[in-house]
Amino acid sequence: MKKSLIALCLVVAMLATMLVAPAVAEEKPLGWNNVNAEGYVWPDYTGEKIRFMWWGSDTRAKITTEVVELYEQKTGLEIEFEYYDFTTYFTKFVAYQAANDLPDVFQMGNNWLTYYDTIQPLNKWIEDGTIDTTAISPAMLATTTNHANGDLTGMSLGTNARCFCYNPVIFDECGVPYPTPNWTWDEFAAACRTITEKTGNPAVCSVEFNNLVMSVVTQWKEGYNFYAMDGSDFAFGGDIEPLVYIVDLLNTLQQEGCIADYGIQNEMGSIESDWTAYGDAAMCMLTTNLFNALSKVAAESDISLELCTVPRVYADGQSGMVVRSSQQISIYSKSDKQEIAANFVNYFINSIEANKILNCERGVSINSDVLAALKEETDAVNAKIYTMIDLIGSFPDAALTSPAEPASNEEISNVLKAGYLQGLAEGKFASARECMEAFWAEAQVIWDKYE
Amino acid sequence: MQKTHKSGLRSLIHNDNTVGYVFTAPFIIGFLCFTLIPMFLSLYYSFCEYKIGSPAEWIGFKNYLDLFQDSKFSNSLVVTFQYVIVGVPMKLVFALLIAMLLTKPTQAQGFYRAVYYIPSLIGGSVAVALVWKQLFGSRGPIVTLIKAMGVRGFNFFGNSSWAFIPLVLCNAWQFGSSMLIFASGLKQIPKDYYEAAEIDGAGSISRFFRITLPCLSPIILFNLIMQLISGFMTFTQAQIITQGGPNYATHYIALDIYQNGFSFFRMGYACAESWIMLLIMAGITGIIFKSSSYWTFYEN
Repeated sequence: MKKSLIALCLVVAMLATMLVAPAVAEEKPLGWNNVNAEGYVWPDYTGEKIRFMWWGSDTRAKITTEVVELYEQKTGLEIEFEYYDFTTYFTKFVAYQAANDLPDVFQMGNNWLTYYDTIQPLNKWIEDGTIDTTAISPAMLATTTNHANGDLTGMSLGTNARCFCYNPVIFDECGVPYPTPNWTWDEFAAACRTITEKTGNPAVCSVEFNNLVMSVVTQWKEGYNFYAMDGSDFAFGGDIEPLVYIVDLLNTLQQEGCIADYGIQNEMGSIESDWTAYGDAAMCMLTTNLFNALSKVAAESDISLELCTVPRVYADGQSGMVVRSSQQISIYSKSDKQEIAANFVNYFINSIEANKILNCERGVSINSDVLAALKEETDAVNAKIYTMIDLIGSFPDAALTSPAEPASNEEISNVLKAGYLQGLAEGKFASARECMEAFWAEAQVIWDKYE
Repeated sequence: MQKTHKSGLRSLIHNDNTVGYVFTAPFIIGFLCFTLIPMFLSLYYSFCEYKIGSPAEWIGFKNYLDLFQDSKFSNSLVVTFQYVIVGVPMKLVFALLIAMLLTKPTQAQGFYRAVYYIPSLIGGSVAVALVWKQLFGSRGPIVTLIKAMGVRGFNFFGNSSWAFIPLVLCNAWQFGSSMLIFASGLKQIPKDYYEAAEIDGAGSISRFFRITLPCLSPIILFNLIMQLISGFMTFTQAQIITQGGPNYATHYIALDIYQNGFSFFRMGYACAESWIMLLIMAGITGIIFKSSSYWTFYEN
């Protein structure tokens, strides 16, 4: 409680500083570095070079490269870039970290706490206006803020939310009603069983089991969260009932063939290969920023997909869903080109021209001007994403941002999925309760190892 | 005086030892920098709490003691042994079989050898692992064939009893280097032995077990050791195809080391695992060498 209060005060102080300081001490006017302003003078970085690294699909690589090249043309800066898939990215990241040779600018996930030493807080560039935040709300800045000390660890590259998508044609053919914004796990299970019975296929393909388990903890009771907001502890008091409830349900549905088994899940290298895109599954779980790529593949088979919320434990209870930063762009703490890097970050986040190319592939833009410009020219698929983000944002409990992932999260998530959920499916545990009791005991041991 | 100095330098340059050192220097430097020093560093780190980017903190034997209580580590050892015990003999038998077929003189012998060697050139790559993932995947041709025979819900990668089979087969498919070594060994066996055996009325099976295998035993020893070491270090296929799953069924030791070091940031612990693995591999190799005097045959 005390820690949370301190953290809250620090965040408020930081945001207040950001708003007030420029007005008091700045000679430059507010929004002086707005790259969208008419007559904006681009800095001349001829002869300078920075390095930039990100992870993602080939689509992301293509559009990011285009934006990078655009910035090079405007400023004369040379940007050496490299990109990898998610797993390789962090292996490479750790190797660079060991050699003190990380790129000046890099993409970072919600696991930033694990790599905290490598990140340069952006506060000073926010304060002096180098990174223009005049069109970014404090709530959006808070999504990448370390709530323990007020450090801004990066600029969010977009917001997203975990949700489901479904194929309405399969629902119609099976006589199953469409999901509502507050549909429950019981309704979800009934829909899955009917669809699987009538189609002979798994009703659901990709499922992020770990994230569902964590979401249900939040849904279970007000005040519950798997991790505390500052990542300093667990936040559900060791009450394993929500874990038992959701693990039992998911395991039962998987045993009945309603949810694709772990082998199929593992085969889904990217969202584009999900069976939903080919009409062989009715639903899948995804983050909203991936809906565009999935819909493109589905469109090739004349399939139009829709987004829906994650089911709830109680129809009138908490949603367990949050609008969070999908990933962020950060500056290396040991970079000697931090000023240039900050200007590049400013361009990447705020430029309408750049973000029209990026097209919310990493998530819905946090800059309201950019978002407005994109919405003017949006297509049907992106409109569904915006609607879903707006809907989730309207849920009262979605005001909570996603907790900072503690360093132990990687191992805890791994043992939950590989050791316990898969173990239960293989009959290693007599019941979901026995499985979750064992998991909770191990989770605490793992937590202590990282303390 | 200067002349003496010059002639001294010349004799040093033309000294056989100097030439030897110069020619071996690239290897020695590479071995020191990329093998020996990292090895000793990893030995030091195995006694430390070490996270990349942070200073190492000496903790004595704690990592080693923790390892003996780590069920994930012991499971990794079990599944690695399972992989090696099934995979290595399968690969060697396959390599020997093809080598014997290819030693029969034909015009296209060179072409066939090259073709069979190709998988070994590309076999360890990520791209090949992805192809095998597709081949044995739930919608791949093999599972489709199995399903066509009336088996419902079958999936190699969804069941811990079946998941290792594609990995073992993928390894066996890369038999090219062993095959070439066997082929060269087969060529060294004197033809007189076979002619004498034929005159004595020995059949082809008898000739194989009484001449070919004994004469080939030194080559079998070499291939066995090389493949055992390679089997214990299996990583790419498991990482790409199954990611160690399901339920840790293919979570081989190299995968566990990688995961602890790079995903969980416990580099000291990963180093300790590596050293345990090195000792196990050295022990097994030592036993094979020791026992080889009972089953290998040297003409001289």
